[in-house]
Amino acid sequence: MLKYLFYLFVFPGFLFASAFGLIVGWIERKVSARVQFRVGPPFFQNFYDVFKLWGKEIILIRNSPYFLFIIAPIIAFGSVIMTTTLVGMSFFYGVGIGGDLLFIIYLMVIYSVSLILGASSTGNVYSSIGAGREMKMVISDELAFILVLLVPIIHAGYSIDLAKILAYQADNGMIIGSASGIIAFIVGIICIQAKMGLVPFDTAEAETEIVEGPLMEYSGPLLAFWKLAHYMMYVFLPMLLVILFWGGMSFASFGSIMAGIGKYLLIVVLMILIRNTNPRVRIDSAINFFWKWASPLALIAVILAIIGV
Amino acid sequence: MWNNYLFLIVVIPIIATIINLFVPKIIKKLLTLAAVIWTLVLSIKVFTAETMSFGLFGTNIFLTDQLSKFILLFVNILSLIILIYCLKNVKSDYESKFFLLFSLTVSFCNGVALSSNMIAFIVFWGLSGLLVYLFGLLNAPKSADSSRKAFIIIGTSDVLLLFGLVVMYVLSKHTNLYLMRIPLTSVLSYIAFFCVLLAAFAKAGAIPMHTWVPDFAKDAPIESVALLPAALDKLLGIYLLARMMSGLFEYPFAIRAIVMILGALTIIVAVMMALIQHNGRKLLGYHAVSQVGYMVLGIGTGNPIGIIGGLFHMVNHAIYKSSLFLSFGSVEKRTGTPELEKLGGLARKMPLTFVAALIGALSISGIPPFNGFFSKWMVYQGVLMTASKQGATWQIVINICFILAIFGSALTLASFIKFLHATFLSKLPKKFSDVKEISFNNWFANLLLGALCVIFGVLVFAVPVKWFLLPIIGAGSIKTFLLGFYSSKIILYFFAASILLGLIIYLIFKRIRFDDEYVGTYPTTEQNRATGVEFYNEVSSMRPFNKIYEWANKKYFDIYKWGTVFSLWLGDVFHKLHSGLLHTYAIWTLAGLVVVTIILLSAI
Repeated sequence: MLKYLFYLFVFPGFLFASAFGLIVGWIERKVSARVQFRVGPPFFQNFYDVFKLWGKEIILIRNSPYFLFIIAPIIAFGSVIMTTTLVGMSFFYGVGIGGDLLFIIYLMVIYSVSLILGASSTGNVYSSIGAGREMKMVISDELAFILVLLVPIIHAGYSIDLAKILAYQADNGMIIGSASGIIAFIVGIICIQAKMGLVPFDTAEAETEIVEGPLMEYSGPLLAFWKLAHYMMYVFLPMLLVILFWGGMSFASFGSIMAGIGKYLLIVVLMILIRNTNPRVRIDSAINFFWKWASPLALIAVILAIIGV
Repeated sequence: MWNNYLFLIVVIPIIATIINLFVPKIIKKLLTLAAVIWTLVLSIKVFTAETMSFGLFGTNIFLTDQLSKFILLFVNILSLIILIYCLKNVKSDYESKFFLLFSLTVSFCNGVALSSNMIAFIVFWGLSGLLVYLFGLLNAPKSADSSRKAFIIIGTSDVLLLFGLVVMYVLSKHTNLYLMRIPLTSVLSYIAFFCVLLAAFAKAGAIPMHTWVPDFAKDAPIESVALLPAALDKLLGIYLLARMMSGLFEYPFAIRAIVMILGALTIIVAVMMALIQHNGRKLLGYHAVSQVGYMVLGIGTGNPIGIIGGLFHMVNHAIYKSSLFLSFGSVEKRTGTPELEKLGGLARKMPLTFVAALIGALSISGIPPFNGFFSKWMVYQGVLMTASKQGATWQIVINICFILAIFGSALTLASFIKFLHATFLSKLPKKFSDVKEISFNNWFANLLLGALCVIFGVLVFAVPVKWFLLPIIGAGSIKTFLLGFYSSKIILYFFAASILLGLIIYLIFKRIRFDDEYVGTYPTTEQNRATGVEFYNEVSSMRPFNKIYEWANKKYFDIYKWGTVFSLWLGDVFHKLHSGLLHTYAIWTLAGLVVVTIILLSAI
């Protein structure tokens, strides 16, 4: 049992994921700054931000169901720690614990559900609009994302165990090497961009338009939970793609560790560059894009995977 | 006879109904409650016992096997919980009639679950269909149209079932449904198969026989909606489907694929309709259709995990959907409107009802660790397993079914977010500022259903799978069937530990201040309130969905409408023939004579 608590709280769970997530967050801010010809924040800026938020007071809305408002970020935070642990165990150790890929898909939804319920409980109109948009983002990227996940499942002989998908790739070469794999991988990057709520798919939070939407009424430690959960998603979403398409990583030699980190960082930098070179899309064009372009493309990948290409 | 449990389970509620005809209201309630508790106790005894039977005139009428015991048990559990809800706050206009019908429903549904004899089965099946109509009529004249629609669709399916059973009897010379095995070889056997399939679909509410469910949900008394279309009709319809898909017929893979495709279509079409509803009851009604798709899909896969998943989803659906209908019923009783635009912010006013609705909504959307997730998870695995054993073409088809099923689950979540937002969250309209929580029995029954959702989810392998589902397929462990894996111990520890961590951090750092919510500099007013009803306007105005929704609103996809059009046309034809002119009749008589003569001559 102690072993599992170590996984959950230390590595690859809470401590590792939050520290690493905050560092990736710094990379994001730094790269964005360089793209925009700014200097960017110091290395520990994200840590300062979180610690500062922990010291601030929480403002609750009078006459609102604030129990939900308080519990929502805590549950989201917990679910993200769990997801990071499950995905991280496969990424670093090549084993699947707790649940399979289908379970992880549903576990990932808890973050969005909590965000939406927490935001809706306030009664603020901007929060409500943001919550609605967040939900629409979920239904738009979910279709393409499932299709993307189906490609490695089919390649690995209908296995939904992350460890078996990794084992399949160790024997038969990486899935990204096949035609279906590369198409699905590209669509997958766009999907996790939307799941993270990064530009061009940050419509739900749109600071300049609806003032951070769902997060509008949050303050203090509760806001810190959301920020931390968001940065932890930076850790496990690219990892999931690496596991499914790119053979994960192993501690076998220094070279393989570097290769694993390299694959992960490549996806992160790609996401940051997409973020910095695109304008925000309207919510209806986001749905349109995912349902009419990304999903059919991913469906082609699925059909190719079934044929065996 | 009077010491046979199976006989008593069916007869006790009927006796209660007969006595109820002559006694005052309060005794009526107590008597119904006593009868339902008694049948529940008996059905638990039947469930734990070995096979039982009851015969009359030398033939077996009732017989139990694992599947029928399972259905029987849940019919009675759900009836009792819903009855507790109905003890108070049923509209007084029809309260006394309601209790008469209630115990009859329990009796007839038990009868369907227990009948092994074809004739008994069709009799109880038809009677339980009739009760839908009678319940609907309680709210007449508002509900007259929709109950008639329900009656005609269910009645038609009863006729189809009768026809199918007669054909089956001709083919097999058996009247015992448990022993029949009919291979699909002749045209006649295919006709029988599809007749029975349509009957099961009409009862459960799957495409193309689904259209009565949302309309009935909109108009009928909400307690009866929670009882019949949401809970018991699902149990019975899926029971028949499970019987025919695993036992009654032997069929090629293409038939299995057709059933699976119909299941996947049911999921996606109904949930797309639910997404745009403005009436809370209708929204829930469409979900009562959509969820049937998972059961049909799961049972259609034909492998153990799929069948377990389908049956599990049936029970889960009955639990959370009746809970959702009841909680929305409580809201409607307190506020007087089912229109989502007019509601809002009731979570503070009706916290217990809100908790029940929240658990129901999370369960139906398949959020772990609630029960809905696990049944869907099993269904998905069943579908993938079926796909893995087929050639490329079927693989593509079945994978598309899989995708539609998972995507349908995301859309379910979306429409329940809208439901929760519009009813319980967002801002409270001023006119509801003195709304009170519903009475004890109502929220108690509601939370009981919520507790079942949690128990069936958290203890999934220890309770529902082990006690109820594995005996049906006669297996000892579920591990051998699973494609993936789920370790409830690790996951629950993880959930508990990580949320505890969050709570500790929160408690260490919390400093709280209360304030109003602001837009700009001013506290928000009722004018700037987002109800949530408009959340998915982007979807409904998007091509090609805008056209499809327009057609759906004109009822182009409604089998009832086309049935009405056809029968009116037929009536018109006959009407024209009855012109009252003598020579028209003379021609028809002559034509008839000619036909008869030809037949007689050809017989010689």
